Amino acid sequence: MVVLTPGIYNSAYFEHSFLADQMGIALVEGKDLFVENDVVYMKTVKGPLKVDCIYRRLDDNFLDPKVFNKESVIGVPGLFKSWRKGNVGIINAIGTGIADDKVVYSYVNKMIVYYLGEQPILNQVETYLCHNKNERNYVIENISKLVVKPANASGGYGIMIGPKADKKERDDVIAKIKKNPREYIAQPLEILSTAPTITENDIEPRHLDLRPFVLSGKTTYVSTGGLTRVALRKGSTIVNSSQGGGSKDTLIVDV
Amino acid sequence: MVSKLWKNYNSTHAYDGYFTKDNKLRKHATIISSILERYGKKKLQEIEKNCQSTISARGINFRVYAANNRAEEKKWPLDIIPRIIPKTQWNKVSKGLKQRVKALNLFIDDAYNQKKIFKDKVVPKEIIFNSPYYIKECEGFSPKHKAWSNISGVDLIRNTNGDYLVLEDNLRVPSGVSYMLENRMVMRDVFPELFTRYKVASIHQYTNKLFNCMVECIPKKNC
Repeated sequence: MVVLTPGIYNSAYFEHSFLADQMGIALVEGKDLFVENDVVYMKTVKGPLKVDCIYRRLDDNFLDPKVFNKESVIGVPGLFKSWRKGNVGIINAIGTGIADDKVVYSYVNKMIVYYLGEQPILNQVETYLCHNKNERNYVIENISKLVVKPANASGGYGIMIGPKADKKERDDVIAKIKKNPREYIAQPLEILSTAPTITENDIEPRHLDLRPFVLSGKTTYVSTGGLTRVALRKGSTIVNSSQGGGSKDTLIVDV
Repeated sequence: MVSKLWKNYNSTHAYDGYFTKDNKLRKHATIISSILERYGKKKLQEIEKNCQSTISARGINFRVYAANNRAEEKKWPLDIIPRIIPKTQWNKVSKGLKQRVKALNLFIDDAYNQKKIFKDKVVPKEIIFNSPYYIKECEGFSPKHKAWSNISGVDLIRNTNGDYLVLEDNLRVPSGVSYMLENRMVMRDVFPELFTRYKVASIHQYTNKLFNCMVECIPKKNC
């Protein structure tokens, strides 16, 4: 088993090497693997070693130049076919991106009812889909109260926070929505919860979120707590580390 | 009873993890508050400094790319005041997360196979088949255990009532778990009293569970 990384220039390389190290398995790049007769091998000093499962940290598009982006030099040619033939496991599977989208997000509660016949235990944020005409008109009329997000971006990029934006920013977003309605959703501004955080001279409240990790194989496991990210600037709700966010240890306690 | 340490602390517009709306310490925050009070600012600054140097020593960093594509290596920012969540509250959230990810995995499997949910008009099919993330080459395939998103990072927030809400589902290559684990290792080093005073549930089993998950996903042929 291996962890497949895009390489040292990736922003999460620290994590790739950390996880490989903790699990005691090899950290490899695309060039360390090859496919022969639809079986994946790792090059080692003792010769090729068959690979059973790959924890990949590359996006779908870069995984296999034979099927996806032909320009990709960080992937493994032939990997996709090997996976489809059931010769190697890849986690996460290829194609999960369809459910990781803020438009699809708005249907998850319905999925829970549909597939599991259960009521959702966790609530989610109300979401307006700009590709529905009525909802789009509502969004445009109430742009100053709403948060507009691209349906597919991550890392907190491209978000417009209506109450904080100026007229030009709002107008820009409205133009974008009209051009590509499927690409945008809007949500009411939820005020993120806070916790005391050390600042220059004092202890002050700062907004935070929480990213738990859920593992699904034969069994399901949920991390005990998760990664708490905190917006270090006063009043800010942008918690992403790429944009000046910090973090906190998250203690699940028996009290 | 709010002490000197907290006299300027004011978070009434949002749900605060330490204080109630009427400025009373929450039950689970009383121990940490008494520790922080006893330490005072000086000792906290000392812990903060130790925290910084431990992070440097362990090489916990991340890379940020600026608009001009120049990379910058940054030290991981960790605030030494922890977030504290009572176990009973967490258990419910944890159940909700399992339920949600289960449904999402069934959905992905359905979308690439029977497509029942579209035929039953519960989800409009256009939003999937026009998605840039829809991979037609996956049609007719199911990974072992029908587990597509093996590692999911589900972002949660708490609204002004304190309810946990899902903000987004990260099902592609979610990152951050190494920082969760490193944060704990650093905190144990620089703030050991926390872990003797509170009964804290361990988190380090994550990597074992991840390893098991990989083993469970080895295709049948190879077992």
